[in-house]
Amino acid sequence: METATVLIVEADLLVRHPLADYLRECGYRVVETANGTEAREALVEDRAIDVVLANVNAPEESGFLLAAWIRRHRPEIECILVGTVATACAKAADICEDGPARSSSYDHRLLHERIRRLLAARNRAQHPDEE
Amino acid sequence: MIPQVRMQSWPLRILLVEDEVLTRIALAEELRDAGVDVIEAVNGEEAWSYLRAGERVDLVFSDINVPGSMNGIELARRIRQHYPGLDVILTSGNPKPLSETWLGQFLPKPYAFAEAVSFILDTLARHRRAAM
Repeated sequence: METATVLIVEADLLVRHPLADYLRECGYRVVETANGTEAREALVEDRAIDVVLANVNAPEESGFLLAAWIRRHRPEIECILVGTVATACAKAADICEDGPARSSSYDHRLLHERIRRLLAARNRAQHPDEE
Repeated sequence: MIPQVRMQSWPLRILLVEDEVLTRIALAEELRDAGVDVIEAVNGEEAWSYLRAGERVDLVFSDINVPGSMNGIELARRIRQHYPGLDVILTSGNPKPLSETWLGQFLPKPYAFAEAVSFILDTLARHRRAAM
């Protein structure tokens, strides 16, 4: 079975690297990027990427914007956005008022399971006769 | 063909500091294919934070011209001060980027990725032999 490739978009190295390590141990090829700009460069260059895992609360550019770009330019790629809705809302408020508030929620096993299910669903859609 | 190298019972761990994402990704993949564990940092501050978090690193390979307030030279200076046993290799497209006081390794850009991997592994091997 061909190795699937996951692109991680996460600004915090101390979060990004353990997640990437875990996914490599699960058998994925992992490409690490720190922000949306890097992610888009990698996506233009690397046609083998299957899944993008992006933090919605990225400091420079919301993961939502990147996901929208992926939908337009690489619609075949599965996208998983990570982060809490509460933090996203708090960040929206930060723009106008209070100081920064940041937290992210990465459960490595849950993310792996989500990636696995997305890829399986895509495979079924691409090969319906094999069921 | 780049030989797989294990000079100890755990994989070698390289902290790679490079802001050009495609260069960083490609070099990191070549190093992983050679059996090396790679931590990818985009700038000096990120690399320094990783080191200060207490994570094990066997060698730092850093571009000199990375964005932010800490370039590769400043990163190397801090490593020399706080982690004197940690090998540092600097790289740059500038033909004369370093002062004569730099005592570490330098790999000029552009480099072939296989060349960079060999350079890194040779540096580590020399350090291990010197330590024995």
